Amino acid sequence: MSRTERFEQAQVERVPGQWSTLTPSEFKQIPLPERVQLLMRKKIRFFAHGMELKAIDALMD
Amino acid sequence: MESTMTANSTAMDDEAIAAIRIVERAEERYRTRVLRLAEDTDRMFGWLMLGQWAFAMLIALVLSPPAFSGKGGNLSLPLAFGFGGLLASLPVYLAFRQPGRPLTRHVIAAAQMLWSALLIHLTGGRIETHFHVFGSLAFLAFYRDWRVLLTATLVVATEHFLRGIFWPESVYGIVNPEWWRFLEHAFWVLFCDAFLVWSCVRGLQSIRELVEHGAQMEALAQSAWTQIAAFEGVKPSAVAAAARG
Repeated sequence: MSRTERFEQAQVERVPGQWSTLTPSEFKQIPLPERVQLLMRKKIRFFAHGMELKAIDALMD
Repeated sequence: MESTMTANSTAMDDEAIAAIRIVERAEERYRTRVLRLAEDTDRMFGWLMLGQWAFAMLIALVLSPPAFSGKGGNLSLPLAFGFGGLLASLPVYLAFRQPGRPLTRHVIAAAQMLWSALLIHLTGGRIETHFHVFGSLAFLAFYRDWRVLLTATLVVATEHFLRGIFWPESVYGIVNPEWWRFLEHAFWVLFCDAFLVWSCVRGLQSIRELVEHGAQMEALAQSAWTQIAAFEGVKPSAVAAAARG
């Protein structure tokens, strides 16, 4: 199991007010600069078992 | 084929970690910049407090007696020296010994407004000296912390209200001002605050944008390393280390 699969889904706000849901594999396709931008602007949320995770818990061991 | 997929998966994992690390470093840079700004501004106010103390004594010697026509004029120099020294002491101590702490800038904001009060008193309530309040608010905005302006506004409004009741001549230069005169002054302070609060918020946004731009550059470099690593079949960290020499 990949380390990036600690979350079940991610929600991303690319358009203001519109959150789209991504699977871990879809999340992996986001280029690093965009990931960094989403994280810095708090436009991405991670969920596992219906609970929101901190980004650091979702992405790192 | 399988080894290529494993390498790609590892690269993806490394990118996930890299994203977090880049964001952590960027947040640290942001905190450091904001802290340094507060420290520098604290020190600036430390020197300003000492300058104002000297200026207050000069005003007490040169301007105060005629402004008060003898009423309290003879007490101006001891007041400037004693109360001025007291007013400067805690902010100066905090500015040079504990710069950057939120308490320091709030103490400085309160003291700076009381400096305005003292200077207004020493000049016999001259309306021109009230401009010191607005200049001080502009200086306080250097902190980029709008809460400091709130402290300053509360102090100056309270001080004007109380002095307007107990010694109106000292603050407005006249004996019988309307009871609501302090509200008029507070309104103009709030008017000034509205723009300064906006500038504080924009200032912090600008720092954040700069830091975010740096993080983007770092992410682009990391992406390039990851692509090279995937091509070479090695860990991106090894490519990054090689790139750094």
